[in-house]
Formats: sequence, C-alpha cells, structure tokens
Amino acid sequence: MNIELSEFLIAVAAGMVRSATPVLYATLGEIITERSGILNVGLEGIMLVGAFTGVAITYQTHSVGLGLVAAMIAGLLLGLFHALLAIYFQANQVGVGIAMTIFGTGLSAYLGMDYVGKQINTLGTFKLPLLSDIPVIGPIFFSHDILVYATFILVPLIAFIINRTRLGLTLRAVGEEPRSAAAAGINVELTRYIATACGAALAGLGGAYLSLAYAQGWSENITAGRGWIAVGLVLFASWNPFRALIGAYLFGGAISLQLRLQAAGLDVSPYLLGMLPYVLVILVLSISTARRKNAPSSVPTALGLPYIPQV
Amino acid sequence: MVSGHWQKLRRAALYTLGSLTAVLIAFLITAVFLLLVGRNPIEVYIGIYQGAFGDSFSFSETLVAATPIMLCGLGVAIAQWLGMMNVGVEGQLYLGAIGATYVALNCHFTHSWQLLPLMLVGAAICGGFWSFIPAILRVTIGVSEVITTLLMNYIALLLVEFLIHGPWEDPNNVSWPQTAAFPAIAELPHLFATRVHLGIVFGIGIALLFAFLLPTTKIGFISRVIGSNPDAAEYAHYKVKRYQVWAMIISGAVAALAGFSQVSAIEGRLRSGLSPGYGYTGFLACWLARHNPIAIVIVSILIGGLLSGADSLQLSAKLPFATVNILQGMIFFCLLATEQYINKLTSKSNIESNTESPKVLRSEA
Repeated sequence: MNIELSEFLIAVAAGMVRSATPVLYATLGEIITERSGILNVGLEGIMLVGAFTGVAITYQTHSVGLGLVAAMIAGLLLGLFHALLAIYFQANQVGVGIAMTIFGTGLSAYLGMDYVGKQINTLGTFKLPLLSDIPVIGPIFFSHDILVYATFILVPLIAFIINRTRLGLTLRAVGEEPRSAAAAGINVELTRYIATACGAALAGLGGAYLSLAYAQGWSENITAGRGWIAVGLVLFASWNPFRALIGAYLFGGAISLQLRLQAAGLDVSPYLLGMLPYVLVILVLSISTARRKNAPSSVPTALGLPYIPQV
Repeated sequence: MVSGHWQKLRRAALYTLGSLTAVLIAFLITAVFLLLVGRNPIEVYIGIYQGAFGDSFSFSETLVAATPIMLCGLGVAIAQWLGMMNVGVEGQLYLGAIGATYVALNCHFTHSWQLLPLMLVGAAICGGFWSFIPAILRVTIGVSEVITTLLMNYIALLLVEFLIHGPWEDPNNVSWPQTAAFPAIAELPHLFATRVHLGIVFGIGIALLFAFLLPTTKIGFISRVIGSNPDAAEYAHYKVKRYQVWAMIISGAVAALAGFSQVSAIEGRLRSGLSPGYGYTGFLACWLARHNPIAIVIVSILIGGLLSGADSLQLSAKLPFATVNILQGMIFFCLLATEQYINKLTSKSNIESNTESPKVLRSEA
C-alpha cells in the first residue's frame, strides 16, 4: 500500500480513538444511570460544567490530576441534583435534562469567561512501553494518554459489573422491576441516586478530557453537542458498554476523518465536513433502531418512570 | 356546567401560581449565585426590570425579543399537543432564516407584497422540512425525536456557517461572514415607529387561531386525544402517525417564521449570531405556559423582558449574557420540581402525568 495513504489512515484511526474518548466516558456513565431506571439527557450541560471545572482547577492548582478529580466531583453534584429532581420531586426527566443543558451552558459560559484562551497544564501523552512499538496497532491505540487507556479497562469492567456481579444485578433490578427489587430488600432510591451520580461523574470526566487533553483549553460551548451524541449512542448501544465503544469510535472516526481531510487541504467547506459526525450519529441510530424493531426490547423497563413506593 | 367552569378556572389559577412560584424561587437561587460572584442581585434585577419595562422604548425592545420566543414556543406547543417533543426549534428557526434569505436574494420583485409572502413560504417550507425528518424517523422507525431534533440544531448552525462563508457570502465584504444586505422591499413592516415588527402579529395570530381551533374543531379534538392517550387514538382508528408528522411539520414551520422575521425585520441579512438561543427559550416558555397558546404569548413577553433587560445590562453593568441562561435553567428546574405538586392539587391523576415523559426515548415497537 501507498505509504502516505497508510500513514494518513493510521493518523485518522489514532485521532478516532482520542476524539471518541470524551463521548465514550459520557456514554458509559449514561449506561450506568439508565440501567438504574433514571434518564439523564442533560449530559451536554454536565460535560460543559466538567470541562470548565477541569480547566479552572488545573489553572489554579497547576495539577491536571486535581482538575480531573474536580470535574468528576462537579459532574457528581449535578448528577445528584438531577436525581433529586427525578426521584424526590418526580419531575419529568427529559425536561430536567433540557433544563440542565441550558443551565450548564450558562454557568460554564459565565464562570469560564476569564479562562478563555488561558494557557494551562494539559494531560500529557504517555506512550505505553512495548505496546506502542507494535506496528499500526501501537500508534493507533497505545500512543495516547492515561484517560484513553483507562477506557480500555473501563468498558469491559462496567460490562462485567453490570452483567456478572451482585452490584450489577441490584442495578438492573432497580431499573427493570423497582417494586420487586424493593420487596427483595433493595433500596431503590439510594441505588438510583448512586447510579445517577456515578454516571454524571463520568460525563464530567468526559468533559474535562475535552478541555484538558483534547482541545487543551476552555472555550464556550466546547462540547458542541457531544452530550446529546452520548445520549443517542446509549440507544445505539442498547445499554451495552461494548457497543457503546463501537458507537463512540464511529463518532470519533467521523470527527477525526473530517479534521484530517481539512488538514490535508481537501477543497470542501469545513462547515459541511463538520456536519458529518452529527449526520452519522442520526444515521446509525436510525439503522440500529430499525434493525431492532422486531427484536425483544432491551430498554430498562422502568426507564424514566418515577418510582412510587407502595404504601 | 358551572362547576366545570370553576374547575377550569381553579386549574388555571393553580398553574399560574405554580409557574410564578417556580420563577420566584429561581430568582432567589440565582440571587445567591450573583452574591457569590460578587454582584448585587437587587441592583441586577432592578436593572433588568428597568431595561425591560422601564419606559416605552424598553418595552418595545421587550416585544422585539418576545417575538421569536413566542413563535418558537408555539412551535414547541404544536408538536407537544400531539405528544411529540420538538427540541429542534432553534435549528428550524435557522432553516426559516435560510429559506427567507434565499427568496430575498434571488427573487426579483418590485413590491413588498409580492416578495414578503414568498419569503414567508420559503421559510415555512425549509423549517417544516427540518422538523419533518425527525418526525418521519420517529413514526416509521421509532427513533427518539428528542435526540434527532437536537442534533439537527447543530447541523442547521453549520449549514448557516457554510452558506455565509461560501456560496452566499457577501460579495462586497468577504471579510465579514454574512450574506449581502436584502433589498429594501424585503423588510417586514414595523409597528408604531419602533423595532417591533409584524412578526409579533404572526405570533399572536397563530396563538389565537390555535386557541380557537383546538377546542372547537374535529381535528383539534383528534389531536387532543392523540396527545393525551395515543393508544386510545390508535384504537379509535385515528391516523395517529399522520397527525403527528403534520404536527411536527407545522411546528417547524411556525418556528421558521421566527427566523424569517428576524432576518427580514431585524437583521436585513443572514448571519450566524442570529439567535441567542431563542429556540431553547421558546421551549422553556412553552413549558412555563403549560402548552397553552394564549399563555405562551404572555410568558414570551415576560421572558422577552428578561432577555432585553439583561441585554441592556450587558454594556452598562457588564453583566454577562450567560446570566440569562443560568436564570432560565433555574426557572426550568424549579418549574419541573413543583410540577408534580401542582398536578396533584389540580387533581390530575398522578399516573397520567407521569407516564407522559418516558415514552419519548423509547422505540415504538
């Protein structure tokens, strides 16, 4: 094969893995949340606040690690707030998500004003020894940063926890049959609070990856719809972490391809190319929904429904 | 029947009270935020009020801001009446602006009365097309329209960017991303020598039209059945899907009128910063108004005041416009938090109001 072309493809694939990472964190988080029966479509707002918090704390403390932790805590708090409205106030969960998006957009834009264009420490690349030397595979998968590698572990880990552990069984029971779960002695509300908080913490981390590793700085609306992409990918993935990985890589691939084509001087408007990832997500979501139409549904039965304990 | 009227009145009063309480709590919480970032909330709120309703000029600016919110809010409501959640009004607004711009720059007429209706039609077709796509995906395949309408907002914004940086770029000024200025006849008439324009008449007219049609016509009746109980509607052999698709098309077309009137009456050309999120604000207005068309008109004027008031503080008091988004988000949170309680008070059954939300993200097998 033509050397230039193979280099181009490897660069696109490596970019795919990096571009997919923020969305993947948010998608994995949302899978956990939705498996518990809570629908959190406000990921866009949570990712924005996470992205801002990451930059702000890193700028103040010069520590990327603290920035990432702070972003997770910010996400966790917003997740708890979502859960409070959804569980205690039994609010319309889609509505809460849209409110969260408006709120997160405003909050991050307000507080982030002073941080636009600020130089910050960023999450450095750490080539994995030996693994990164493997031809093709090495540069694509093993020449990134620790948060990319963490997804390689997180995907099977979350799948394992959900499907094979007692914890996962609790989570699924709460999402499928909350009343039976309660009858079996499970605290439905507590489980949902924890699942939503964990899911939102991962979304916050995804946002911080965007600002601390991917774009390396804060700018208003840095997520550009990635939160909604993640919500869509959860449906595409039918709540399965491995399929979420595939979905995120499809999206990341479209982003990376579009950027590389622009860099290569392709004579197509960058704005038209920029539509590619969104169009792709709508397409794959439609195709996967159509194909599953007659298959048994994998939607958590109690998803989005408020839990009203029997008295 | 007297008791029926009382019931209705009582419900309307409770809804109003609920929305007002939500807004009040949101203002209080945002006040705490403003204190934390070193602002005097009382000063900010008085400033917003002055900038919104202080004198006749501010009030006219409030009506200008209220117009696109009203049209977007009505768009959201039309879809919602039939159980479709259209979060894509922002994108449909931009598509309306694109359609109107195409007509304004390419159709050569000598009179406004020839050009303006054609611009309106162009806008409505583009906006309707934009909401048709998620609608058809939803009713045929079962793809959640919440996600598709939202993602299409981002595509619409990129489409505008593409046009103003590319084929529609102003030939006289290539350094500034916008189209050429419209001919003078493409300007929507203004009212009372202010910036208030015919768009607000469209908004109020559409609201009145639906307020009249929905309770009195057969189509209105069927729509209400579909909105409140799609299964029953299916059982009664109503063409649920066809109704829902048309509701979405009309919804997008009405939102597109917001884009049309913005480019025609306010901007005089297409550019990218056309809407500071009128679509999302319209969504909030619709929910605050509990999808009632007349209430949407009133709520839009109040929120329009918030927007124009905050806009006037942006320069004088250096208040970032993002404050409005924080406040809007807070209002929305508080509204949702109090909703169940209000529903209980209005003796609407708990189950009924609860089962509405989750279907949105479910595939309709």
